[in-house]
Amino acid sequence: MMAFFLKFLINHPKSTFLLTLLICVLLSFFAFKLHFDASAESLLLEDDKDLKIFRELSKHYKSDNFLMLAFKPSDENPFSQTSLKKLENLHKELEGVRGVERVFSIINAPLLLSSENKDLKELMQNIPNITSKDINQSKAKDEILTSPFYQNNIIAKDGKTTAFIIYLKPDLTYIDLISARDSAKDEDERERLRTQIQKHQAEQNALTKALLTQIRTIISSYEKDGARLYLGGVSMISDDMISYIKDDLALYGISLVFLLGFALWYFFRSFALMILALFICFTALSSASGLFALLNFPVTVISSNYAPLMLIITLSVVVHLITHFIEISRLYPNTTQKRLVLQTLLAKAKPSFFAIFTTMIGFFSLIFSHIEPIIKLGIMMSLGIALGLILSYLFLSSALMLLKRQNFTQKEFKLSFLLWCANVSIKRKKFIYALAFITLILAFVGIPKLKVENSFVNYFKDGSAIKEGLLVIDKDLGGTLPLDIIVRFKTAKTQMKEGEILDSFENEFESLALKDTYWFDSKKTRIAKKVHHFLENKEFVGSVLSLNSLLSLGKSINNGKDLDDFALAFLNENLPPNFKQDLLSPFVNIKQNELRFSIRVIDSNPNLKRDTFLKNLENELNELLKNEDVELQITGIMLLYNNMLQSLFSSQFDTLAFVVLAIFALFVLIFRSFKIATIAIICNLIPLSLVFAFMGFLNVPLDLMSITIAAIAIGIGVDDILHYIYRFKEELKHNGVKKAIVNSHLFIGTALYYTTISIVLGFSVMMSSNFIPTIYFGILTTLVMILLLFGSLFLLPSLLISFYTKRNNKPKLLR
Amino acid sequence: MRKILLLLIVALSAFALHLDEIENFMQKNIDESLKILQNAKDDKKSAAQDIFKLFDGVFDYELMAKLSLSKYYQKLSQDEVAEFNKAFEASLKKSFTDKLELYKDQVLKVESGERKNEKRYFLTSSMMVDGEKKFIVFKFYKENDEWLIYDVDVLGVSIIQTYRSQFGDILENGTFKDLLSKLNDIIIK
Repeated sequence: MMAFFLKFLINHPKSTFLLTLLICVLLSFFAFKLHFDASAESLLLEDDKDLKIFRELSKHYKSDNFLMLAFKPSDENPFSQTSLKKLENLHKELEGVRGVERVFSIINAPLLLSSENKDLKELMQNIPNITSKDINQSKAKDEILTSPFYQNNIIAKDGKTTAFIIYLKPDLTYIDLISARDSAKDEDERERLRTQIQKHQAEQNALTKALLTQIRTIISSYEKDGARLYLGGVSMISDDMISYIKDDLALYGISLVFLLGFALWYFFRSFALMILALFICFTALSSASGLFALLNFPVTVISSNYAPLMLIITLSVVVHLITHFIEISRLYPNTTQKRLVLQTLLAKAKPSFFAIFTTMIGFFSLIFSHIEPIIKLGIMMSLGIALGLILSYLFLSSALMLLKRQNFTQKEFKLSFLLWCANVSIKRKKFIYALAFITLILAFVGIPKLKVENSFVNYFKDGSAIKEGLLVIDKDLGGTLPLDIIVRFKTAKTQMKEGEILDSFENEFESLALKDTYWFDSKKTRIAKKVHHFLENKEFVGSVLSLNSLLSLGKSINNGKDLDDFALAFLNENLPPNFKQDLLSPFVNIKQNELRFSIRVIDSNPNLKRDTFLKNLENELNELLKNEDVELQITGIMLLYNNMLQSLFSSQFDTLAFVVLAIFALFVLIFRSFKIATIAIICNLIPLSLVFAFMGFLNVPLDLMSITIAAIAIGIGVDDILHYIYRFKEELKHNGVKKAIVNSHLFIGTALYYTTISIVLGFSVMMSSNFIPTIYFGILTTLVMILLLFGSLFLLPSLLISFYTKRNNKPKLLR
Repeated sequence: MRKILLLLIVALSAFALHLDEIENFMQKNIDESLKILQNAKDDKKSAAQDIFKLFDGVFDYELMAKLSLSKYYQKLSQDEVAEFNKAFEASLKKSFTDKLELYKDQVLKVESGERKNEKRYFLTSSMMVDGEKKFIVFKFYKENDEWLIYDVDVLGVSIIQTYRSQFGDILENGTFKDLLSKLNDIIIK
């Protein structure tokens, strides 16, 4: 069947080539429609209950999405006349940017203690700020520097850096679309909404990009006289990530053309074969990209890796095929091109199919991660490499036919080295086992040390503008990672059984108590104070803002005395609405009976263990509030990211178990031997465990990308073993075990080298990324590939010699 | 002896306020109070004492104290109740006296009364503050055909309600002694 099909292709090379090319061009056309998604939410768990809570709570409070712009004047004194003038102008310009809702800075910060006017009522009606006429400048400076609201928020503790908090207009359409999608009744409706969400996100990304460009232009005009400005915030991080992905993709494309082109030239010494191999790889990539666009798969920070991965894997298929083709064309110089091509494609069909199939299993296992973008990467890669294999066959069957018959050569590797490898594995089995045993011990000690951390600051290279900005905001202005603590009060139900007269009074006051006027009371303010103080003194917490910040402000106006319930109710009833809006509404939701403590965590602190921090925070807060009859909720981007990584960490076992079992089952099927299947799996797992042990010992945290290494490495790594065992079994037909080992080494050594070099070169391109997780991914995958090669060249033959005898497997194996 | 007793009954019944007298009584005493204040600009404390004399008869301090404690009232011993009542009245009066310091010749005018139900009557008075009309509501209840004040709403805020929430929180987390010591700190602003 296969032979018939291949013969058909080979007999019609022009039609095959053109038709395949036409389909590829059509598919590639859609690649331009591929959309990029680096929103914070693209990385979150879709079924995370905390995400639902986060979205729900975002509706309760205003001004969730903000950017921070730190400003360090050249004279390091934001309060000097020249600095204030600049700040005022900058403030105005920022307010004028499209998409900005409002800006909060020392320019418009309400000042209640710095005016010559002491009458509180008048102050409330016309709250002054640092630019007001009757303000006392030195008092204003003191008030801003010591205010619980402003310190560590819009002014650094040392008073040298100040910040603008730029509140962006909330994207209510997105929230509505998401909740409509979540409550959609059927899959069609959900799919329709998904498309709508993607479209909306693309528009929103463009708006954010325009907004950021405008802000950056404004910033650059202020930097001319020596002032330093740093921009930070979740929107900016995701916009920068999108740029990084796009830059990375462009860079991978260009550098891989040169790197792989050079490698191919080095291997085959043929310009035609080099171009052909590159052509197949890049056409497969662009066709797959079009396919993903048609399937509505967005490219996220994680799935952007599909590009180099696809190139590498398709290339290894092509290299195996071309190597074989060159070898047989040298062996049979008088055979026709047709026969050579057919023989190559047929001989390599099984190993190539199985190699791709095992790799697909590796990627497919990623669906157990429960993380949308990782699942997508798994599906994209599975589809992509299948397409790569099909296109390799279609193009090679036609293009090799169209090429003139010529004597191809290839770079020979020193066979003496391969012979040495074979001899070591035969004669030094004990030494190899000892090494494997040490590796296992290292793995047992190192792997439990593995940890998951998700520091945003550490995602970016030292010296990059984004990192510098995040560090200034982190260290001087209260931290970068937003986290919210919500304290919800239960509605009080009194059970009174008293005299009639008191009953009627009780009823009257009970219903009065439910009025919004009396919402602020001793209990709530006491809890606000208790929680606020607790958070303020908690390690790693930078800025804390809550109702208590306002109460501290009230206390300072009230001659140092706490506001009592009457004063609170009075203020609640009589405060001007705009004052309430600015200072109260971000921290209090009377309708929901909630208090919100808005904190920022110092992300760059190297001692911050996020998961432990969040768990401790929750336990300690529960302990603190255990007798208060309140519900506690922790929410925010930091929690959601942590959930995602923890879930990845815990699903790592599921993913690995699936890969190992599926590949083991496949090996049993292919080799029809449990023993060989076990040996093959062991040779894969030992090198892999060493990489994870390294990560554990060197404190390299697992992140959203390195967590996919195991599945990918096993998927790609088994190819070597597969090819080796295939050859070994072929050799066994005519030789003893030891001879079979030596011959297998000599025969497949070249192909193993080629593919390993291509893979290592491919992954090494990732090291040039600006995104640290991609760099780690590149380094670690390269390391794992090299170790897997050692596994195939040393451990595998040793185990085969020790546990495999010709007798127990003779004829029933491969034909 | 009989004469003395009769005199006492007459004196007491003279304070027994009837529904139709409330408006006049309050306006009259308010006017009187404002006069006292105008005449005693430097000594607000003694002025306050004189004002208390005018209103003491219509304020049911004991009920106010009881209502302020809500359910916790039942848990107090008789001695504690007595001690609390005393402290409560003193605190209320002290708050009022302190507040008089801020008085700036505003005029309080009785506006209208509203019979909420058989046993409740709310009398609304108003004053102009910075060109804006602000209200003070005196809340009366009926006891044996006599009307007494059990709460006052100042600019939309009930004094007793704010006491209730504060006392409730203190007693939920502390003792009766804590309440007494804190009562002295609570001053209505």
